[in-house]
Amino acid sequence: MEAIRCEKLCKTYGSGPNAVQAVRGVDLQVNTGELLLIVGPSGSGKTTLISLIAGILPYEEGECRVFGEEYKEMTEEKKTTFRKNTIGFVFQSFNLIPMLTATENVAVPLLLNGILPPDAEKKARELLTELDLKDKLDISPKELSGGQQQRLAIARGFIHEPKLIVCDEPTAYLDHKTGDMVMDILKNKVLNKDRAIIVVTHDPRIFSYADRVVHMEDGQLSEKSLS
Amino acid sequence: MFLYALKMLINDRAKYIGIVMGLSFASFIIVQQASIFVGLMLRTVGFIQDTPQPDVWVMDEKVQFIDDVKPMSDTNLYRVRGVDGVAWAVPLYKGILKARLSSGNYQNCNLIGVDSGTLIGAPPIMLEGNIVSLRDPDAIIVDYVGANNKLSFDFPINQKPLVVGDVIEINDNRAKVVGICNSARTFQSQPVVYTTFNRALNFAPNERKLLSFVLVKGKEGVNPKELAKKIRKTTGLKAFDAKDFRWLTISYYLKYTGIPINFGIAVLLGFIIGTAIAGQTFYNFTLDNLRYFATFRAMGAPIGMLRKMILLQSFWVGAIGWGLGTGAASIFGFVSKFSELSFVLTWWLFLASMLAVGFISTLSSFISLRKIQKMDASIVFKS
Repeated sequence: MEAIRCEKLCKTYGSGPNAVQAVRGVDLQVNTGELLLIVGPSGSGKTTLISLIAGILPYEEGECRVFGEEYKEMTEEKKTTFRKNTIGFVFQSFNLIPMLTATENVAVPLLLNGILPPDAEKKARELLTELDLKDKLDISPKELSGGQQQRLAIARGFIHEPKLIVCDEPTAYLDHKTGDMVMDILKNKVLNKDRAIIVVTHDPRIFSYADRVVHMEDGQLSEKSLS
Repeated sequence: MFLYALKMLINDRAKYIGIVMGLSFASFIIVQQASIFVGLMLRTVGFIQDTPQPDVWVMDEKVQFIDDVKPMSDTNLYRVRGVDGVAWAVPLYKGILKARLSSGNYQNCNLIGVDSGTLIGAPPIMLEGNIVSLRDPDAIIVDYVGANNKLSFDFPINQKPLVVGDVIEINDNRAKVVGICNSARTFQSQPVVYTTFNRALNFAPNERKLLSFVLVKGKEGVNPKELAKKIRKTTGLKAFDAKDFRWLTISYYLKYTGIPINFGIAVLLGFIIGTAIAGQTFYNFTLDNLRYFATFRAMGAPIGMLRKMILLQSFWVGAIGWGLGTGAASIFGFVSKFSELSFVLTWWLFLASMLAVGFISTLSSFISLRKIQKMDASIVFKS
């Protein structure tokens, strides 16, 4: 099933002589059950592209359909609801809230979806236990190692069972072994036939986990061979 | 999510304490200074409050406040008694006289001469002795604070309180203490000495006119304001009901002394410093957490929910800060109850300080809300 279809997608920052075209007519299709890696040098437009796909940034030209829904046809409110129900996020710097416990951090997407705190926290505990974080449930994320924080961020990214997960450099701050473990979770625990995962990365060590790799440079995409 | 908003606030200890302390400080200064101001203003009218029997106070037309005594001629008492609607009218002497203590010390006193027959105007609460003893020869009643401080022997070195049976001199006249009373503190903190009207005239230096006030009770069903109006019209004297006389006195102090400005500045400083501390710390708190709010936004939190989270946080710190500040001010008031300090904490001061702290915290949250409103949700992807 088609998860994402982008056609001639364009995004420009600024206007006039200072305008910078970050994404230039990108065509991209991602299917469910697929783990797509977007690779490319810094400043090539990777993060802008996933921000567009996630509905966080608006685009001027082209089309971007996520599970058949076109962002341009949505109001800001509908876009917010769509993100809440459909998309999970894993951020490069985790963006875990240090004032909340590990369990509470993971429960946030469920609370946003209207689940009551006791139920949301129960489900978060179960998921964290599954991810070998049973003894870290009630401590602040800042007391966790980088790998543990990333597992927590992944748990937060898919606890509400979104159909699309967007990951920005999930292994950037991790050593090889921990990076492998994180990708293993994404590939074998998170990915399923109804879900698509997009990973933006610089890290060539994780290419082997991808079903497909696309290369981005100067705001344009090109298919990259896995070998 | 709202519970989590509070946890985000409370678990950031340093900032949380900073914001709460800022608001507590503002609340404390506002309430404490305003309470002292109210206490001082009420002291100016303490004697009117201690004398509840008359409906109307009659005085010379030039009098501006209770301590601005302009003696009238005795005949005015009879003129007032002749006004239609007056049930009774009694004379009252009020003046500042020198008392000489047995130690040889001199002390200015507020001498009150009450009607000898009815004793209307006598102290409201007796701690020792009996009011009727005022009719004894040379009798005076002294207020408790005066007896224990300024009128005590060897004040201010070895303070031996003045007690019933002691004899002092008032303007070279013998005066024997027959009672100790509790009366409202005066603005100038002078001891209050009660005696009868006739004896007060003996104590006072010889003057042609010595009637300070005429205290009037209206006949049943007569409106005090209407009666005061009638007395003014008939006699040409000034006449007020107790409430208006209190306001006349307070208005004088508000208008002609620097007291309101001084206290107003202190209250304003408390407000400004509280706003600056709480506003700046709350704004910093929001700024530091902008990435997390952006994360919520990216994950699908509506902007309205983020606004409510910020408002809840500001309401929370406002409520805690106000509670601590007014609590501390109340304790301050309780502790200073037995001191010279005037401190009156009224319900409307609580309300006013609540509104002031509410304003500060709302203002702080609005500055933060602007930041949230304008934030770029894509910052979540920045490292």
